[in-house]
Amino acid sequence: MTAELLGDVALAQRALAAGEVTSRDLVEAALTAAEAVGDLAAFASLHPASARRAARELDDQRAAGAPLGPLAGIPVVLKDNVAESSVPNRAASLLLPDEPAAVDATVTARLRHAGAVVIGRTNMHELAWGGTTDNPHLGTCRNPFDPGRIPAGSSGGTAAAVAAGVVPVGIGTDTGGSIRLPASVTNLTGLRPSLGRVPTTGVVPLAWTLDTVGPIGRSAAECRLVLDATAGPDGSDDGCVSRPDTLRHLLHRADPWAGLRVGVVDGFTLDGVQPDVAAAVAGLLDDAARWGARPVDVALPHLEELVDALVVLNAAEASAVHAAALRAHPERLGTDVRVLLEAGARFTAVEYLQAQRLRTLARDALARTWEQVDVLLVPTLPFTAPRLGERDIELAGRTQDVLVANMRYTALASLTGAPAVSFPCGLDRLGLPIGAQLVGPAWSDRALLHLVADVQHRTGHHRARPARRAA
Amino acid sequence: MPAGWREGAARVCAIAEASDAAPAALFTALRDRDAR
Repeated sequence: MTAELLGDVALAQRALAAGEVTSRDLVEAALTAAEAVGDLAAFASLHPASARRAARELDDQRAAGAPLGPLAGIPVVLKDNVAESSVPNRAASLLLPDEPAAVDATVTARLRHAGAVVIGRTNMHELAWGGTTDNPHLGTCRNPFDPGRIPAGSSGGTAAAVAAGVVPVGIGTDTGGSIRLPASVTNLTGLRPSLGRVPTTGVVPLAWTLDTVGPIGRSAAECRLVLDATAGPDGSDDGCVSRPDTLRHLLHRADPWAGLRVGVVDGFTLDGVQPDVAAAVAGLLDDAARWGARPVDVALPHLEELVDALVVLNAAEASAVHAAALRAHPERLGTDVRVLLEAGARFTAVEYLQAQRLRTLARDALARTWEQVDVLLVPTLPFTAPRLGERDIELAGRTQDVLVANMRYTALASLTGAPAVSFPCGLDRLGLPIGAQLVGPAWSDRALLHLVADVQHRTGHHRARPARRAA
Repeated sequence: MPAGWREGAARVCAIAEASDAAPAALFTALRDRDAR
């Protein structure tokens, strides 16, 4: 019973309200589950004492009839780059100081205010600069669907913990795809919020102009709860603003796909991907048409080059963020991230600015696209989870670097600041999850989650569970 | 530099040089901030 509750916040809330379970029960079960799947290396650290204390306080508040938040008593996890008061915030790297954070990140504080109980911090690709979560300090994080494969990254530990049934939702960060990629390969739902919607205060930066923070959950419902709890200006993050939701008309519709114009990019959406991925996304398009959606062919220029621009911006900004520490202590880094940081410093200022200009072109082209369609549908990844240690992947007759191939479909939202949700759309012939991605106009985050919730209600793809799980 | 990065940057430069676009980030972010 408790295992079910750890995968469904609404169910857990009903059980808590009915007195069938306590926050302490849920937290205890989550801590036990985390230990049980220790071989996945999903965690950087667990905080049993503070989690038990928080759960007890919430139980006391509930017993006293005090008002409770929408996540009251629900155990959650934070990626190791999201600050928690009194805990070091090191982004799973020895490059950052081993000093406790003075205060919570805004996201952490808001989750606590909503009643969530943080049980621990999750493994991640070092400094969030990479997509495998093969961490030299915390160990190689593994995919619960096949422990011989990666959970992607950089938020791989959060995804592994949620997929394995430890918690129903956790926090990740997404610069070039680091929420969506792990969600895709672990059959979860992950939201990269609109740029500027959720404050990044207290999050270790990777690339200032691209960074976002958001949820990875068992379903769209969990992501919506976390978005609602964490969005909005905090007075510290200058890039965070308040805007009205777009595509608002969808939010109250029981049949949100009816009449929806779904953009498909000819020669891109279903091309250059593994056959099972193409079939699953095509199947989803067919489903959407049956539900009343209208597929519309759209053309977007320079899509293949967006990954190149993303690499320039991400690499150059990350190298600037960590420049001083890299000079002082390069030996503290894993080899792959040290190479990336050293390489990022070699892009010229002109190249950086040309990449920002390409970003303008992409943003303008996407803005014109929203006159033709309501959302875009693309795969999240061209492939299902690669094996541990696999650096290259064979796709459409070409050998490609996994890091770059990873971002083929995530670069558009990362560069334009559009929100994007990755969600399950089936399994491949090996039983590995396939993710699709809905991209919408800025501030359509809630509408996208509403559409995904409808997919999940109709298809149940998100219910496929991994073999390696806590219970 | 990792394989393909240098060529990728060259492709980005070629497209940007052929446009009259201004850089997307930083400058516009500062302007938006001032507007608030």
